[in-house]
Amino acid sequence: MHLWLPKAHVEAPVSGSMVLAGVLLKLGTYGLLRFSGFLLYYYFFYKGYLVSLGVLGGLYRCFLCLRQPDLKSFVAYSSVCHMGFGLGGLFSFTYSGLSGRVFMMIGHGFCSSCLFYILYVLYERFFTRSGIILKGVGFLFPLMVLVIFLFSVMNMGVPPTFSFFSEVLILVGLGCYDLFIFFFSGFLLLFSGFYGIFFYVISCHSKGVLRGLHNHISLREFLVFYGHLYFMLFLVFCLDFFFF
Amino acid sequence: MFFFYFFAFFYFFISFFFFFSFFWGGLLLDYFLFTFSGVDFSFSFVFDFVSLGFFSCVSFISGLVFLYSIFYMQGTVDFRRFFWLVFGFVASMFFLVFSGNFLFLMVGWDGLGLVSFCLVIFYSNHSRLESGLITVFSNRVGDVFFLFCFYFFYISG
Repeated sequence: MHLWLPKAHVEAPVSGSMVLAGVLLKLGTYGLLRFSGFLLYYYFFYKGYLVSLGVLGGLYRCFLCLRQPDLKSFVAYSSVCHMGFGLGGLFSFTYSGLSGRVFMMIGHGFCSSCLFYILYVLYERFFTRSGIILKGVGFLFPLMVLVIFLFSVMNMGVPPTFSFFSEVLILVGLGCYDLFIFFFSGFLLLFSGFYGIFFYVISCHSKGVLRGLHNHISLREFLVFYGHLYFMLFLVFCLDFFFF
Repeated sequence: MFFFYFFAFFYFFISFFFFFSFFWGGLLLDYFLFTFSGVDFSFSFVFDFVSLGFFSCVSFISGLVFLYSIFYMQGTVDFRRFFWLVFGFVASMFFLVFSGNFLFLMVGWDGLGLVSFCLVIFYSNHSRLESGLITVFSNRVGDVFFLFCFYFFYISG
C-alpha cells in the first residue's frame, strides 16, 4: 500500500525522513478520519477489501523487510507494515480499531523517526547504510546499544509503552470485524516481532568489520534519543486524551 | 563490588520479609489509565499471600544467582551489563507475579522474553544468536496468543 515509502526514505536526507515518518504518514490517516464522517457510505462497500489489503499486505511486507540490504529501507518497510496494520484497524470501523489506529500513528511517529535518527548517527560516522557493513556497529558505541534496543523493541510493541496499546486495540477491533483477518493479524504481529529484534541483532550483535575510533555520541544526539524515549515511555499516562 | 553484594543480600532479606507478612489478606494498588467501552485498563499490583509466596521463592533463588554470578563473572569486562540484565529479569518476574490484571501480566511477559534474549546473546557468537532468536521468537508466539486473549476478554465483558 505505501510502497513508495522504501524508495522515498532511501533517497531522503535525515530530517526529511524523520518528518516523513513522524508527520506526513499520519496526515493520510487524518484525512481519512476527517472525511469518513460523510464518506462512510461509500467506504462501506470496500471495507473488506481494504482490511485484507492492509493486514495481508503488511504480512507480505514483513517478509520483504527481512531481506533488505539497506537499513534505511528496512526501517521504511517496518513503517509500511505498521501502516498496513493500522489500515486494517481503520477500515474495520469499530471504535477499538479506530482508536488503535490513532494510537499507532502517534507511537509509530516517535519510534520510526528515532530509528531513522539512529541510522543517521551511524551514517554520519561510517558513510554507509548497508546492513552488511554496519553489522555489529553497536560494539563501537556501547552507550547507544540501550537506545537501539529500546527503540527496535518498541517498534514491535512492548507493554508499558504506547505501541503496545495500539496493537491491542487494533487487534480487538479486527477481531470484532472478522475472525479470519484476526488470525492473520496474529501472524502479522508475530513477524513484526521478528524484524524488530532483527534490527537490534544487525546493529548490536557481533563485532563486525568496522574498527577504529569514531566520534562518540554527542550530547545533541543523546538529547534527540531521550526526547523520543521520554514520549514513548510516559505518554502512556495520558492515554485518555488520544481516544478517538 | 560491594554494591553487587548488597543487591544479592537485599534479595534474601526481601524474600524472608515477604514470606512472613500478609497472612490475612492482600493489598491491591491500582493506577487507572483509561476506560475503553466498559473495560478499564490500569496498572495494578496485587500483594497477596500467593504472589508473595511466589516472589519470596523467586527472590531467594535470584539472590543465590547474584551471589554466584559475582564469583562466576569475576574477570569479565561486561559484568555490570550482566548484573543489570539479571536484575531486569527479576524485575520482569516481579511484574509477572504481582500483576493484578491481564494487561500488567503482559508487561512482565514481554519483559521476560526480551531480557531472556539479551541474556542469551550476552557473548556475541553465532550459536548464541541462534538460541537467542529461538527464545525471542517463541516468546513472541506466546505474546500473540496473549494478545488474542485480550480480544476474548473484551468480548466476554
